[in-house]
Amino acid sequence: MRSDEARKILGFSPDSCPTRSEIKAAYRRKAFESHPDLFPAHEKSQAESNFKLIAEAYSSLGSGARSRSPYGATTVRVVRTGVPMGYGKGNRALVTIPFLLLIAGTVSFAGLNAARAYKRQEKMCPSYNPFLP
Amino acid sequence: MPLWVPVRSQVAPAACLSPSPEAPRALSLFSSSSVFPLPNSQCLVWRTDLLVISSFRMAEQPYMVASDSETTGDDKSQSAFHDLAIGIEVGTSKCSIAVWNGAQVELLRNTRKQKAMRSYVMFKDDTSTGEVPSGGASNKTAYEEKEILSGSAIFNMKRLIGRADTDPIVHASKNLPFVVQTLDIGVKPFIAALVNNVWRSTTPEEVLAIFLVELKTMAEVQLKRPIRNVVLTIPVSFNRFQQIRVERACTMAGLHVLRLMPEPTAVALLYAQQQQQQQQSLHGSMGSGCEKVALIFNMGAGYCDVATTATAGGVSQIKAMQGCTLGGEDILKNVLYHLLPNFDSLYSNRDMNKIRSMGLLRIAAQDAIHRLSTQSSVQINVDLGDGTKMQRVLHQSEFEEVNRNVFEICEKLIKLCLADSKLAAEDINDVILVGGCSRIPKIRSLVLGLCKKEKEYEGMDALEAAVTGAALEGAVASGITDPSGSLDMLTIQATPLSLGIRVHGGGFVPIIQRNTAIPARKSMIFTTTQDGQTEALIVVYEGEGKMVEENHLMGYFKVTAIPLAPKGTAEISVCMDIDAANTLRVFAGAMMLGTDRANSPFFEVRMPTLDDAHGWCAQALVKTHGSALDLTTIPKELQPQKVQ
Repeated sequence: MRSDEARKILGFSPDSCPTRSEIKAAYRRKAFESHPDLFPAHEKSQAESNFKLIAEAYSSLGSGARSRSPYGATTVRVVRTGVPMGYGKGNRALVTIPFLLLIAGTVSFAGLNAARAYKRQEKMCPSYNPFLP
Repeated sequence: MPLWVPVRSQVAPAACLSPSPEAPRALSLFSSSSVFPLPNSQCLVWRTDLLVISSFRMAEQPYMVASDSETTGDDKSQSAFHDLAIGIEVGTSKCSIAVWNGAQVELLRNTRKQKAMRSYVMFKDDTSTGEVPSGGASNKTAYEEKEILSGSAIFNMKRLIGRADTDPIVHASKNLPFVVQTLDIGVKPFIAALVNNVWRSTTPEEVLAIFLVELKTMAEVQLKRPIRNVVLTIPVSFNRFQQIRVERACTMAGLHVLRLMPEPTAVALLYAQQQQQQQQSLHGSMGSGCEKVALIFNMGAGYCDVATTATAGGVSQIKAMQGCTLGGEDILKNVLYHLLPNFDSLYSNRDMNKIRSMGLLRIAAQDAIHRLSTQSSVQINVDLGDGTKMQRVLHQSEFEEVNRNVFEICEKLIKLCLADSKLAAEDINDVILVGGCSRIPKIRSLVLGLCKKEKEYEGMDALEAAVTGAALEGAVASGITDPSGSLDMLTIQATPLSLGIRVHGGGFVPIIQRNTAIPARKSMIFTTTQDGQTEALIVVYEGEGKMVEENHLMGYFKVTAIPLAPKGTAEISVCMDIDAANTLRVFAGAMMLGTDRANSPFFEVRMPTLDDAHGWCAQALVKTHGSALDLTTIPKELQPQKVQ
């Protein structure tokens, strides 16, 4: 969960920077509004998923991502409905590498071509071209 | 005729402990399915139908003894409280019931006017009614401690329930007067009570169920309404298997568990209520108020729990919990071994005289420990019956030396809990000491010293706090509101143990960390360890160990249809979900390569799928499949949607 998203869930504007105690108070208020204990049976499941979101938002804003595990990968996110249908890949560097290669390749190929054309010209008529050294 | 019989007739077979015409009807419901095992069918109709029910899972409520469908003429005044859940605390040694009576929480008393009833079940041969076990809450008979320790009664069921016979706690229970047999192969221990000079086998769940039936009957008579929903307190260290066993015992007794509440959580709720009332009387209005942090230390006869809670405006949030199987029973054992170093060899053969003298010694030691809370030394005089007499003085310093390991574990738990909640001793406003063992001077000074406090929080009865909190939770979760606002409360519970899966090499990766607020849903991406791997095994564990062997195996399933790819590139999403009823579900499936869509439908598995003590399944899986179906984590940078 991104932090602006988390702030929105807790009722702050996405680009504000609330203090810890503000976050805590907002979390308490929201928890009171959404905890499944306080809802009748038929509204419980909706309340439950709301609460999960709020708890997730709070933990991502409050204590940050705790990494106690030696494997490092402990970042988590809430899936809103039903079966989790998937995730966006957040890996920009890897995606841009082929494009960079293409551009670099084009530039170097063009440079090579120009150099070859220049050499050919020089060989064919060395005396008539005033621009040649 | 007792009052509750006409109200709900199904209560009768279980409650009056005698065969009734209702029971065979209940049995006939299951007659088509004759596969259910009926172990030790003891020719008691009510008991056999309890056993049939026991083979069902707790959520399958249509099979409950007491059903909702029959609501005959209940009087209208009671209708608001018809489904109000009562709070029950079944302790290792004592138990109590409390209920919200509309204005406050009231503890029920048995006919002997006791609020705290000894928890045990006596298996006694009674020629007039057949062999009817009766529990400590029973109206008719009040057994003496000496009789309880004669081998005919089963007690300490809270320490035995849901444990395998390889468990050190079960081994330590072998010095109890009744029989605890272990074969050390990871199955249920065998326990038996002495009836008619014969050791008759039973199970901890059965014993707990019999006891709960008595509690239920007692509450029904006093409240003049059928009881169905209960909030039960459990120790923090109970794993999911132990919780399931407790739920099963409740189902056998015809009770529906609304919530299993760790004891410190219940105490935290009571604390939240007291704080809110205090603030209301100070400021006159309901405000969010300032946050108060409390450390709750609860040590009873069987278990020790530590928790930190932050409370403001009626919302109490559990910040961290720690618990272990440590209590008065261990202290008693240490003292017994100190008084009689050859205790084990002396009582290994279990003849009647030995059991009797062991019982006498236990009573004497227990009494000495109680008196040491107020005196600096006690005189122990006990005639062990077989010609030997014990006469000696036990000093407090001696007692503390003998129990040094117990105090060390307490200290460790408190430190761990404070570290987990990222609190220093200075951040704590109140220190709450509850449970019987909190009266031991050494423990008081230890807890207060670690929290740098002069004195503990006052205004809570050490023995009634947990059950009062459970009754409050029962009222809140039943949807009862109070005009004066004393039920405008909420406790946000936390998971006491981490939940995760096995990865390549036998490591344990938690997906839901301990102390996560529940309900919770967390997911993680894993990847394959083999080139072209199309299937992966998800092996779910619960516990705190870094390697899976140290944790409890909950179950396993296979994720299929992983797209063909070199190792480390396919993505498998594993999501864990704990709902409000504390049910754990695991969702898992493979992602299409390079996209964020599922490759094929996900799997949803409700855990645990295994019985407890089936850890050997994990070894069998490794033996059969090796590492061909293993998963591994992917680096942190590649996990989706990091916190920026």
